[in-house]
Amino acid sequence: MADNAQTMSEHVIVIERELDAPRELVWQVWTDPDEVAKWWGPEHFTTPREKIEFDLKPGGTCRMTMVGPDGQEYPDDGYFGVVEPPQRLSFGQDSTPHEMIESGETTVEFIDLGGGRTKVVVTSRMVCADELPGMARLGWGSQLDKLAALLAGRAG
Amino acid sequence: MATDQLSLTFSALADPTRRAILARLAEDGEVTVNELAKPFPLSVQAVSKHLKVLERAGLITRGRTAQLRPSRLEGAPLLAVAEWLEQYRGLWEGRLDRLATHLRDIQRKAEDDG
Repeated sequence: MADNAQTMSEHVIVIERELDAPRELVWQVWTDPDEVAKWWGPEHFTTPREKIEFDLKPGGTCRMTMVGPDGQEYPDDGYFGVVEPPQRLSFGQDSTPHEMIESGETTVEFIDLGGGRTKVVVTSRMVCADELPGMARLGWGSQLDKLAALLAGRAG
Repeated sequence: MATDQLSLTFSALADPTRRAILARLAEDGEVTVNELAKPFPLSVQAVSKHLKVLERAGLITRGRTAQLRPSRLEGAPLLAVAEWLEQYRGLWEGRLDRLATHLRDIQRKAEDDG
């Protein structure tokens, strides 16, 4: 138990979305920093144009800083993996600020649905410590214990 | 919850002994340092050090009874971890919403201009 080595495992989320726009346009909006600055977010965050640096080729720089509503900056320093216009793009980070999360890589597939429509499939892989989801569940368990104790107190 | 608090939680959780201590507390409620030290090949002093890290991260609180000071688990920072894991999906959903809106706006603008 004194061993500090962690077992890491992959956690994958897949999100699909159909968009009313032709594939070439979706690719452009996803890979041109001028366009990315207008939608990347997340909500209530901005990603200022001057803080985006793309070198759109395999192994090229993919760096952007998101700015929170309170002005705090969240830099994301990564690289592009696969760059296959207009159908496939991947990007990832070498490291994250959190010890239990090793890296993340996201692949986006742009599928032409015809009639000026495109489906994007985002597959995001996060390598994090095996125990992390289990620990998160402990948090729920402990909250529910408190709730049970509270209710028992009311009942008594 | 502030990112700093989350980082503090993550680094406290990064050690397997500390995770085992939390798991034990989740099961048994209040446990003294002597009882906690038993299953580990560690001294009571070493376990005390781990408890200090957990206490600083807000993951446990310790009783005020002078010698024993039993520890108990505090769930809130762990809930923040659960939230963080779930937020990741929400982050992408929100991002794709904004992408769809942006695509609609630029196409509408192109139509108006043409």
